[in-house]
Order: sequence, then structure tokens, then C-alpha cells
Amino acid sequence: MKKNLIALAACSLSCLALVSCGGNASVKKIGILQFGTFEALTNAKTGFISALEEAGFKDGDKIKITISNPETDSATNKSMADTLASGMDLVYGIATPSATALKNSVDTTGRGIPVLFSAVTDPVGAKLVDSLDKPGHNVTGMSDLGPIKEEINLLKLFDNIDKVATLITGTEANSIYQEAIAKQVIADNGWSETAKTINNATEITAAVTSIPADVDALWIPTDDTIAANITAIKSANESRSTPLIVLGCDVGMIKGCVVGMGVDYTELGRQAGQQAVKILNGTAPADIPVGTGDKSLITINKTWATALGLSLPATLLATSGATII
Amino acid sequence: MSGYELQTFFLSPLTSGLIFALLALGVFIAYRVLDIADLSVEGIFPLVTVFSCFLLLRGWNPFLVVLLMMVIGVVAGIINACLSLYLKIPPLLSGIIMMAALFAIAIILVKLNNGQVNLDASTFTVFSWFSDLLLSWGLSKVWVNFLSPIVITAIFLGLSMGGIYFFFGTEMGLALRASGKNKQMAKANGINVKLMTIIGLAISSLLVALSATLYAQKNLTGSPQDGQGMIVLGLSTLFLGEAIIPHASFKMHLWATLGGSFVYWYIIQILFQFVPKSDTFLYLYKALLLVLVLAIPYLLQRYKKKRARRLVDEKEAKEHA
Repeated sequence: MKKNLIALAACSLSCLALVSCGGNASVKKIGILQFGTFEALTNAKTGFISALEEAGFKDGDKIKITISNPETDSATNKSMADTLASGMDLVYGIATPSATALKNSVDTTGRGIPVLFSAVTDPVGAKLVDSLDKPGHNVTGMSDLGPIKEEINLLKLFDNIDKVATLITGTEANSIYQEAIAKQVIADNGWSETAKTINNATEITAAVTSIPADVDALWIPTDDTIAANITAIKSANESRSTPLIVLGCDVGMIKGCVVGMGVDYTELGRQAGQQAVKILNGTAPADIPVGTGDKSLITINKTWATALGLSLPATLLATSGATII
Repeated sequence: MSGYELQTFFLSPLTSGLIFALLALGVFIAYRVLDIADLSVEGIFPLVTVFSCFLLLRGWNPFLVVLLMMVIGVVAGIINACLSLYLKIPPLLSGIIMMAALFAIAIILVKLNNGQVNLDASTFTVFSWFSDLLLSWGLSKVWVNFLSPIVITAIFLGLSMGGIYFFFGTEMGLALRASGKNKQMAKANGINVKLMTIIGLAISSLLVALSATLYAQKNLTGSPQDGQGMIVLGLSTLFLGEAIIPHASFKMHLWATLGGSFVYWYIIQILFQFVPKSDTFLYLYKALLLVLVLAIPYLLQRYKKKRARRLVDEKEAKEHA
């Protein structure tokens, strides 16, 4: 019993000794906290790192990057945030829970190091910044709020739309926020909404197949759980007697959607990386407005629409700047 | 390591250890004392974190919130027990039912608040109350920020452990322990086993709720996702404590649970502070370390036994010679 504790103590001490050697003051330490392994979040991470590299901040040279990933476990997320906040010179939180945890941890240490975020839909509601134009404190970053209104309005190009379904994951704050916006846009167009909320990925198929047959379209927000399981939507839609026109707020979800519009997470990460470069070069985060990314990206999955037996209006296919696959 | 890093290295796991020791004590009462694997923990935890923030956002007094959350825990525990006792739903399933129902309420609350219930640093919580008190005594801000969660949680934990120790020493507490150990025997001795199960689960859920509200008030956020992995966390903490700390008496069993919580969080802290590639392999490392910590006491014990036997053999051999 005593021996075990001594062994444990010895173990941790040797770890301490190993790490405490070799600190270099001129190398900036950057900590990344990625909430989970989802394609969108991983893209936001790689985009960030590559933007830093392009600006001459290469990992291991001028900067040292530490990446933590709690795999969506909130308690671990908080502990990792504490650790990063105490040891890094700049931290980058991907997704709302990681970004807010980092902000609170940095506040606790009182160090005031810059906090960047991306893949946060509502930074003001998450209490990260005072306003999008003037963040006000040591926090800024990229919001991933998609062009929800423009996207749903694309349905006007189709004939006879009167019912639109929405599908969100109830545990994701971002999705609930976006659904509230979508609900308004759908109502403004005089359509009726069928709202579906799932709690985890296993429920996707049931949710999609349970959408009534007279519903014409399905709108999906930038939702990590659904994005990771977009193929489940694809196969569930195939099995329906009346296929849905699936709209995704995330270009990455296109393989299961007819139209994907808005956020490209790699690009979002890159722009967060450019904000980091500004901060490393001396700009205060409080003076860097929250970015929203390029919202005009449209991808149309014509192959998939044809396979489903949906005919796409010529006006949609003629949208300027649209990528058709 | 800089001063900040050292401070975080020692104090962050200590805070987590204290907060989740309350959860582990709840799991201990359900699983070890009552012998029920209570899965409702994963519903109570997120409901309480979300509800706490929901009320604090509306300016409720944090101490009142703590009290109310404890009541919610008790009610959840009672409903859970009644589901299995009076509707004959297997306890494992009634826990799952409670988990689903409470999780749904958490989602409803979050939806009422436009998706998230984040507090900001200026929100009045039990921790900010104590921080302000310490600051007014002239302590430096950095220390206050770390000390206040530790002191406040330690007080709640101390009161809970004292309360548990006292209660399980009373006649009713002993009856509760007896009904967990051997139902038939307890019944034969005139103990109301059903009532004991209800009381036990109520206490267990109360502790989980207390842990959750402190967690939310410290981290200034609540989310329906918070429950994920909580039952695993509680059980691994419990087993870890039992493996490394002798727990023959009830009192020692409580201490072992507390110790297990600290060891667990320091292991996690060491892993992601010092082990390379911990972002990808964290959970694998965690599994390996848990195996190591759980196996060492057994292997040591076996080694001691073998050595003792060998010594006896040698002695006998000598005597024969």
C-alpha cells in the first residue's frame, strides 16, 4: 500500500522532471482544445494550424502547439481547459463547450492570455464576447452561424413547397439556437414546420423516416452529431416513399444533402488562424471583430438528387458561384 | 513549469476530486450499500447542472439553488425507487427510465433559454460569494480563484461525509445497510426493506445532485451533455479507491471513495499534461493506467503470500535437515 503510493509519487516526479527541462521563452505555446472528433471540428483545427504555418509560425519552430481532445466528456473538457489556460500563451477552443471552458479557466488563472474560438454559433449568447464587432476582452474568434435565411429561401425556387421539417440534436446548444432562427424563416415564408429533435446518433433513422410523407424538405443546422452521421440521413431518405429535399448548413455535409450552403470549417479554422497571427504580432483580441466566414458558398449534389428522383429547378442550378457535383 | 502551471497541476485535480467525490459517494451508497446499479445518475447530473444555471441566470440565491437541487435529487431518488419497488420495473431499467426523463427535462430547460445556459464571471454563485469574502480579507486574486472552489466544496463534502457517517451509524442507517446486504434476513428481522431502499436511493441521488450543482456553479455552465460518462466516472472512482485503500470498516470505505476520486483526477492530470499524443490516445492511456493501479495491489498481495509460503517451506526444510 505505502509502496504503491511511493511508486506513484516517483512516477509523477520523474514526469515532472522530464517536462520541466527545455523551456524556451521566445517560442510561443499555443493550446488547442477540440471538443470531439467530428469532421467539422477536425477541419477547424487543421485549417488553424495551416494558416499559422503559412504566416511563418511553424509548429516546433516559432510556436509549440499542444492539442487536447476530451471526446465530448464535459468533466475532462474542463480539466484540459484548466491545464491549457495555465501553461499556454494563446489558446484556441473549437466548439462552444471547449471555448467557454477555456475562457472560464483563463479568467480563473487571471493570466489574461488571448482566447480564440471557432465553430461557435452564438458567441454572444455563450457569454464569450460582448458583441461581434467589439469583443471587448481577451476573447475573439470565428462564428459558424450559417446563412440560414438565404438557405431556406432557396426552397422558393422549387414548386409547391408547403411543409418543411427540421432536424437537430437536442444536446447541442448551437443547433437549438439555429433551429429557432429557421423556425422563424419557415413561418415567414408561410410554410409549416415539422420539428424533430434527436438525443443521439442512433435516433437519426427513426427521426427521418417518421417525418410525414407530405413534407417536402428537411433542413439541418451545423450540428456535429448529425454531420458525423450524414450517411444515416442519406440512407433513411432513400427508404422514404417521398424523398426529402435535404438542406445542410455545412458544405461538408453535402454527401447526404441536396444543397449544402454556408460554412466551410477548414476555411473557418484558417481565418481563426489568421486572427491568431494578428494576436501573435501584437494586436489585442479585444480589437479583432468576431469573423463569420464566407457564407455564400453553395454546393449542389445533382447526382444524388437525380438518384432520389428529385428534379432540380433550373434557377437553382444557375445560382452564381454554385459548385455542382 | 511556471508557477501557474504548478498551481493548476496541484489544485485543478484537487477541485475536480472533491466535486466528483460527492458523486462517487452517491454511487457508493447505491452500488455498495444498497447493491443497486443506479443509472439515473446520468439524468440527475445534467438536469441539475442545467437547472442550476437556469435559475442563477434569473438571479436566484445560489444557496437556495443548492438546497432546491438537493430536494430535486431526493425526489428523483424516491421516484426511481418507487418505479422499481411498486411497479416491479427492474432497478437497472428504472434507472434508465429516470435518466431519459430527466435528460428530456434538461433539454426543455435549455430550449427555453435559446440553446445554452452559460453564466458569466459576474454571476453570483456560492463560489463567487466566498471569493468576494476572501478578496475583502486582502488575499491575492490568483489564489482566491483557486482556493474558493476547494474550500467551499470541501465544506459541502465534509458535511455530507459527516452526515452519511452519522446516519449509517443510527438504528435506521444500520437497518438500511442490512437490507442492502441481505434482503431476506433484513425482512426476517422486521426491517421495512422497501422504505430502506427508498431512503437509500434518495440519499444517493441527493449527493449526485449536490455534486452537479457545485460542478455547474464552479464551471459557470450547464449542458444536457454533462451526464455523459458520469456513472463510469463514479464507478471507476469507487473501485480505484477500494483497490488502493483498505476499507474494512464503513468509515474507511468512505475515505477510500474520497481517496479514489483524488487518485483518479491526478492520474488524468498527469496523463494530459505530460504524456505525448494524449489528444489521440488519452482514453487508451486511461484504460492502461487503471489496469495498472487496480492490478498492483493484487499482484503485491500474491507476491507476499508466495514469499510467506516459501519462507515457511524453507523453515520446514531446515527443521527436517
